[in-house]
Order: sequence, then C-alpha cells, then structure tokens
Amino acid sequence: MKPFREQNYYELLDVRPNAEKEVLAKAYEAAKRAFAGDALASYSLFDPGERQALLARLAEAWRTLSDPALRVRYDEDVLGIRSSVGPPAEGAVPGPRPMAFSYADLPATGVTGSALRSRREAIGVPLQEIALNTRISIAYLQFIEEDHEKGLPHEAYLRGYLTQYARAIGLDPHTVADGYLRHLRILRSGKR
Amino acid sequence: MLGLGEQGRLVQKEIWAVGGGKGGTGKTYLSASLAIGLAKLGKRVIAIDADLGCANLHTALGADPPAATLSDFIKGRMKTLSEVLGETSFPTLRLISGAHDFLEIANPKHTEKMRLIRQIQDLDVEYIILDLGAGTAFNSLDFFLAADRGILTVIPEPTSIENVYRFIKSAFYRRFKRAVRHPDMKALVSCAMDQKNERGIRTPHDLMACVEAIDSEVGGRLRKTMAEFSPKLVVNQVRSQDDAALGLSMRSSCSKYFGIHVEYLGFVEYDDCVWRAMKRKRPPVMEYPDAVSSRGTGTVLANLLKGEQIAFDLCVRG
Ligand SMILES: Nc1ncnc2c1ncn2[C@@H]1O[C@H](COP(=O)(O)OP(=O)(O)OP(=O)(O)O)[C@@H](O)[C@H]1O
Ligand SMILES: [Mg+2]
Repeated sequence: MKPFREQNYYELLDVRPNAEKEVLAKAYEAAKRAFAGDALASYSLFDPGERQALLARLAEAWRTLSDPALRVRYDEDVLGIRSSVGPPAEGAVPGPRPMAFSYADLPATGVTGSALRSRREAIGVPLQEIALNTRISIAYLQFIEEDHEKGLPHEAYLRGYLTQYARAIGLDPHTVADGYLRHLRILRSGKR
Repeated sequence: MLGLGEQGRLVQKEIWAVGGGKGGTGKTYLSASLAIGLAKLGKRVIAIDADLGCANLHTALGADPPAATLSDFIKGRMKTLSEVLGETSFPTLRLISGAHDFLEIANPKHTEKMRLIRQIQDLDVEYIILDLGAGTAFNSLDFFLAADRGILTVIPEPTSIENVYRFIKSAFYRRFKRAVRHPDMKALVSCAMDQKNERGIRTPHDLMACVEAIDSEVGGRLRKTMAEFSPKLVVNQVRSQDDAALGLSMRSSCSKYFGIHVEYLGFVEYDDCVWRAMKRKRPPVMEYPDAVSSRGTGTVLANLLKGEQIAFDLCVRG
C-alpha cells in the first residue's frame, strides 16, 4: 500500500513479519530480479536513481533481517515487536509461498468477527501479540472480533486495522478488509 | 453491489469488467471464459460487449450475430437494455452485443454513456461481465470504475505491461478527480495527469502527499479512496515460470511505485487450443475444458469467487 520509501523491511520484501530465513532469502532474490534495470515488471516505472535507492533499501532490509541479532533489534526498535523470530509454534501458518496468490488461504466461511477469532485461535496467536505488533489498541481488536459496530472506528481507519490484523493471522488483507466491511454494512442496514 | 431482484428480494449482484490497455491481450477470451464458467455453475449472467470500437464477444461465446446491439440502445432506437439482450447456447447466459456501426457510437456522449452505465447497474441478474475495448479512453475507464471488480489482462511483453500501468494510473486519477469537489483540487489532479507537470507529481502517492499538505481532511478522504482502489491482474499467454511470476513483480511494483494495491488473480498459459477454438468461433473452455488454458481461466474464476463467497455467505446470514 505504501511506496517503497515508507515500507518497512518486511513490506519491502513482501513477507510476513514472522517469515523464516529461507523465505526471506527467496524473497530477496525475487525482489532483486523484479527490480533489476532490465526487469520487465519495473523498467518503465523507476528511473535509474530511484531504482538504485530501492535496491539499496532492499539490500539493507536483507542485511538486517538475515542477521538474527540485527533482526531482533529492528523488530523491537522500529516495529515495536517483541520477538518474531524463532521456531514457529505448532500449527503456525507457513510463510508465503513464492507462487501464492491472494485468496489462497482464505477460510471458506464468511468474514465475521467470530470467524476471524476462530482463525486466530486456531493458529494460536494471542490478541495481545497482535496489538503489540501492529500498535492497534486491543480494544479495537476486540471490537472487530465481537462485531461491536458502535465501538469501531471510522471505516477509513478500520480498513487499515483490518489489513494489519489479517496479515497477523496469515489471511489476505484485502479480502478480509473488503469482506468484513461488507459484513458490517449488512449488519448496519439490517438494524435500520 | 446489492440490488433488488424481481420479487423485491435482496440479491447479490456483481459487475466484473475486463480491461487492460493493449489490444489482443485476451480480454475478450477471458470475458467469455468467465461468463461461461459462471453460467456452468448455474449463475444468471449477462455478458456485455463494451468494446464500442471493435465488437467480437458474441463470436468468442459461440453465439450467432445479434439482431439488436448496444448501438440500438445508445442511439435510442430501443428504450431499455433488456430489449437488446440476446440468447446464447447456455440457458442462464445472455449477451448484449457490441455495436457494429462503430463509427457512429465509438465515442458516445457523456450523457449517453452514463445512461448506459446506470441501466447496466439496474439489470436483474447475478453477474455482469463487461468486455472492455483496448486503450485508456474515458469509455473504458468509466466502465472499469463502474464495476465491482476491475480485472486487467496483461501479456509478458513490454508494451502490454506499460499499458496496464498507464491504465491503472489513469483509472485512479479519474476516480480521484470524481471524489474531490473543489475546483483547485480538480485542477491539481489535472496537473498530476500531465506526466511532466511542474509540481513534480509523478505517482498517485505523490498526488496524495500534495493534497494532504493542502487540506488534511480531503487528504484523508483520498487516502481511503486509494485504499479501496484495488485492480485485479491476470497474466495471459504465459510460457514460463518467469512469465507467471510477472504478476507478483507487477503487484510489488505497483505498491512500491504508485502506492496502489493490486491483486494477482492467476495466470493463463499460452495454449494453441485457444486460437484453434477461436478460429472455429467456438469458446475454448467448451471445446477444450481440460486444456491448461481452461484450467487457468478456471483458477482465475475460482479466485474471484472465493473473494466473493465471503460476502455472499454474510448476505445469507446477515
Ligand atoms: N492463452 C492464450 N493462448 C493462445 N492464444 C491466446 C491466448 N489468449 C488469447 N489468445 C489469442 O489472442 C488473440 C486475441 O485475444 P482476444 O481477442 O481475447 O484479445 P482482446 O484483448 O480482446 O483483443 P482486442 O483488444 O482486440 O479486443 C486471439 O486470437 C486469441 O485466440
Ligand atoms: Mg476484445
């Protein structure tokens, strides 16, 4: 969603904050190819200066995240995450496969607060952890899971929260945001 | 989009537009494949040939040349769109053919176009598939923006990719311009549309930053518009793993450069079956349902439906 200068290292590499090192390595290789000077997908967008800046940011992202100590520091200082690295918990979501498309790992059921909570509980991510990682107030996260319409912020902010929440539980952010906002509109129109 | 059905009950209606800038990237082929795929699932579908310059969707659907076309409607010879609906060999799939006297209506007046878009939105059906023409003319952009899902086809060639980027940017600016009211803001968007503008605005995100600096409230509204704008991408005529990965790099490029989130729906392999069937005026997905290309369009449809499944489930429950 953000141009590269505003993206954090994980966003730059298109990986989740809990991605393992092999996933990071693959993502870095793919990114270097995608933003090389002659790359089909990007040659027409970036001028040489910008391309250099982007490649330098990617290299910096890889240098930092591939070093466990630097990564822990980056996570804490920049993202405010305690420790995302380490062996994945039992039943944890695997990192994104290079060829994965959006929607790939969606639940078949609807995007409701309770469906999202079940998904989160199934993969064993505590709400506190998401609050910490995303810096979204835990109250809002609870309101999302409870479909508590009155407590939820304006749609413009809610969308951002939903995308971050979705990422944290390994779902496609846009599908979840779209689905949930639609769900909310239907709830609201039903009450009127 | 929610609409009222025949008996006044709430029905889920989706408009999907297929565009992509460059000619010959498979817009018509994909539109026909999606429409047929939906019809085979028993959905009520209307496929509309919105390529006002060069209509050929009926051929891709294996349907007979139509008795009435869009031009009859646009020129007012027929009052409603339902009068120009044609049948296909699929019971739940109907067709609105494009114009043939294209010189007359390739560029309909704005009011004519808006009347057309309104009537499209009012059609009583579950799915509407719009096959757009090549290019980034306002015609294509307006249909694209009127859809619930805007799908772009790209083939692994420089001109096609450049055209898709241009399309995304133009569509976004057009949507942006509609979302603001103040003449100064509209002027700013016009300025941004000129690639060599003196304000140095080169991307939608630059424009956003500029607007936010002037008026934070309008800026916030536009940020929302930007977050909601999410074109879908299909890579067609794929011949290698690299070609298939193009969708991922384009998605990443769009977010890194434009600040726009694109969704990659999947790819369709290059397959001789496609043109062989098209040459015989038969839909490839019917002639060769097990071909790799048909599996590709099937995946694209499944991904579109999975996104939608969610909303539909909610509709039933809510
Ligand atoms: N996956 C594919 N494999 C092989 N041939 C293909 C494939 N997709 C499309 N084609 C061929 O490419 C040609 C153009 O396809 P199509 O007419 O669908 O493109 P279009 O984008 O609608 O073009 P226009 O811009 O002229 O409307 C057709 O002859 C079709 O047979
Ligand atoms: Mg066509």
